[in-house]
Amino acid sequence: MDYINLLPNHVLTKIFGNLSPGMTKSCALVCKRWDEIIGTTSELMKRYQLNLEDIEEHEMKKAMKIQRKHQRVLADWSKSSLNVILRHKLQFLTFTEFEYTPVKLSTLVETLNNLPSLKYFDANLLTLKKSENCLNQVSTNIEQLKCAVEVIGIFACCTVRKLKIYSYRSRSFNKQMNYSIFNFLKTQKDLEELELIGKQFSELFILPDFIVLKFPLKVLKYSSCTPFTHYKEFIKFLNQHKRTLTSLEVDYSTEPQFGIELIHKFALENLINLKHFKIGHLRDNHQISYHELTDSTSITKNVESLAIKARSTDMNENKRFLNMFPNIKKLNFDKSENDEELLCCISEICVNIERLEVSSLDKDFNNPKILFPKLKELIINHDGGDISVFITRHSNTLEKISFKEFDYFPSSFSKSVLSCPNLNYLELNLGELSFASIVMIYSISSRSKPFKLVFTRTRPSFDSNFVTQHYTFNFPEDIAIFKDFWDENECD
Amino acid sequence: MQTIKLQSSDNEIFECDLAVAKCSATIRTMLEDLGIDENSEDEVVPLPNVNSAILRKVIQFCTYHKDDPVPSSTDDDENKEKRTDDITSWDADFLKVDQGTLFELILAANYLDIRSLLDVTCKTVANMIKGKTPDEIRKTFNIKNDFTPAEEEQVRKENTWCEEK
Repeated sequence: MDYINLLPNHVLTKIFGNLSPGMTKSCALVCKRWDEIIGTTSELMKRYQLNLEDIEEHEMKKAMKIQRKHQRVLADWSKSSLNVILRHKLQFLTFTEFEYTPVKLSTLVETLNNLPSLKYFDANLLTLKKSENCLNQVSTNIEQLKCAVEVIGIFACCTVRKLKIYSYRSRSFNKQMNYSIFNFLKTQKDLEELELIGKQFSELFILPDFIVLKFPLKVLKYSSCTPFTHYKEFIKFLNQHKRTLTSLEVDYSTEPQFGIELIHKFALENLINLKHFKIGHLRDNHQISYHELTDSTSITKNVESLAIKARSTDMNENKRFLNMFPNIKKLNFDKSENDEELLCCISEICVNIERLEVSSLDKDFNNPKILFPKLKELIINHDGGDISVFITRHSNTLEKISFKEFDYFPSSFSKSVLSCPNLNYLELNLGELSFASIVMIYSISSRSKPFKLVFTRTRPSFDSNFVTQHYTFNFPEDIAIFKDFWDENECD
Repeated sequence: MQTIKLQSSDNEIFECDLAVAKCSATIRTMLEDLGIDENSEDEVVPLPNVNSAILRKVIQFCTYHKDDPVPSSTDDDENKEKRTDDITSWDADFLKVDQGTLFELILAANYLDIRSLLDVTCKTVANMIKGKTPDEIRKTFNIKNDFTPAEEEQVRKENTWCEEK
C-alpha cells in the first residue's frame, strides 16, 4: 500500500524541506501529487531561488538590510523566480547566470512590464540559448540597464541614463547586432553612461551617423579584446562628446596598438571635463611620449581618478606621465612584478591620494618610502604578501579597508587592523573559511571601537557557478549573527 | 505525580503522566481551552484518530523525551535545508518499524501536534528518499507512477533549474 500518500500536503512539504534542491527535483518526478506539492509550495520554491531565498532567510537575521532598503533582488531565470519577483515592488533586479534556464523573451518582457517600480535592471542573458523573435517591448521607467547585445531590441522604448551592453559569444555575433545597438542609441536622449564590453563593438563606430548621436554622454567605458581597427572613428565619437565626458576608460587585452595611443593623446588634450581616466594596455613598448603632452596639463590637472595598467620601462617617462596628474585622489593600480621603484615615484608625486586600489599588496610595498599621507581608503584585490606592514604605516589615516579576493590573511593582519584608530569600515572576503581567518575575525571583533564589517562570501550555487553575496554587520552587536552563520555551515 | 487518561480510537484507555501528555500541543489545547478538568479522576481525553498500537508508541516516545528542552522558535525556519543526520540512536531504534507504523506515527504526531516526533519521523522519511532516483523512490514507497511519458518529460524540463552538478 502507498502509505506515504496518506500524509497530508503540509507533512509531505515538511519531509521535502529536509531534502536538497536536487533531491526535491527527483521527488517532483515521482508522481503528480508530489510534483504539484513541490511546484506550488512557496516554502520549497523559495529555497531554489538562490538569492531570493537568501533574502527571505536572512531578513530575520537582519543581514540584508541594504538590499531590503532598496528593494534589491537577485534572481535566477526560473518561472517561479519570475513569479516571486512580481510580488515585490522592486527597484533593483539582477539576474544571475543559470545556463540551462533559458527564458522566453516574451515572458521576460511581460514580467518587466508588470514592474513599474523598476529602475535598475541587470539581465545576464547568457541563458538565452537561441535567438527568439519577440514583438513585445519593455515599456517601463528603467533608468539603468545592463544586457547582452542579443536582446537590446526589446528595450527600444526605454529611455535610460546608464547602459551597459556586452557580447561574449563572438560566434553568435553578427553585424545586425551592431545595428540594433545603433537603433537603440538613436532614440536615447538622456544617456549619460555607456559601457561596451565584448569582442565585436569596434564596427559600431563606422556605422553611418553613429558618431553624431546626440546624448549627454559623461562616462564611456570601452573594453574589447579585438584589434581597434576603427580608432579614427572612435576619436570622432569622443570629439562629439568632448564637452560632457568626465570619465573615459578604454581597455585592451591584446597587443598594444597605435590607435589606442592616439585615443589617449586625444583624450588628454581635448576632454576638458575629464575627472576619471583609465589608461589601457600600452605595455612597455608603447610609443606615446608624455612630454609631448605637456600642454594638456590644463586638462589633466583636473583629473581626480586615474587607473594605471600600463607603465614604461623608462622611469623618467613614467614620472612625466604621473606629473601630468598632480591632483589625483583616487588611483587604481594594476601591479606588475618589481614595481617598487614605480611605487616610490607614485607616492612621491601623487601625494593627494585618498583612495588606493591595487591588484595585490606584495613585498614591493614594504619599502618605507612608499607612504601616502592622505590615504583613507585601501582596496586590495588579491592576497600576495604581508599586507600588515603597509596598513600599519597608514594606520593614522585609514578609514576604510576592503579585501576582495582573499583566501589567506597573515597572522599579523588583525594586529595591523586594530592599530587603525579611525577605521570605520572593513570588507573581507573569506572565500574559504579557514581556521586562521576565523581566529582573525574573532580577534578584530574584540576591538573596542565599533566599525562596520562587510563580509563577502562566495559559495557554490546549484550550477557550480559562484554567487557572491554581501552581508553587512555592525560590530559589535551583530557579531552574533556572524557566529550563527559559522555554526550553520559546519565549518570546523 | 499527576496522571491523565487517554482513549484510543479502538477504545483502549491509557493512563500517563500529565507532563508526558502535554508534549502534545493538541492535548494541551484541549485541556486549556476546552476546560477539561486536569484533576478529575474520571476525565478521559478521547483521541479518535489514533489507535492503541500507535498511541502506545507515542506515549513511549513522549515519556522518553518529556524532559527535552523546548525547541526555540528560531528553528522554525522552513526555508533552509535541515540536517537529517542528527537523529539520536534511541530515536533511530524507536523508529525501526514497518512503513505502515512509521506513517501512522507521522499522522499521529501531526494530529497530536507533537513537534519533536513529527520532526524526527519526517527526517527519517527524508533519509529514506535521499540519494534515490525517482524510480527507486517509487519502489521504496510503493507509489504508482501516474505521469504519462510526455508529462514526465515536461516536469523534468521545468525542474532543470535546480539541477545539481
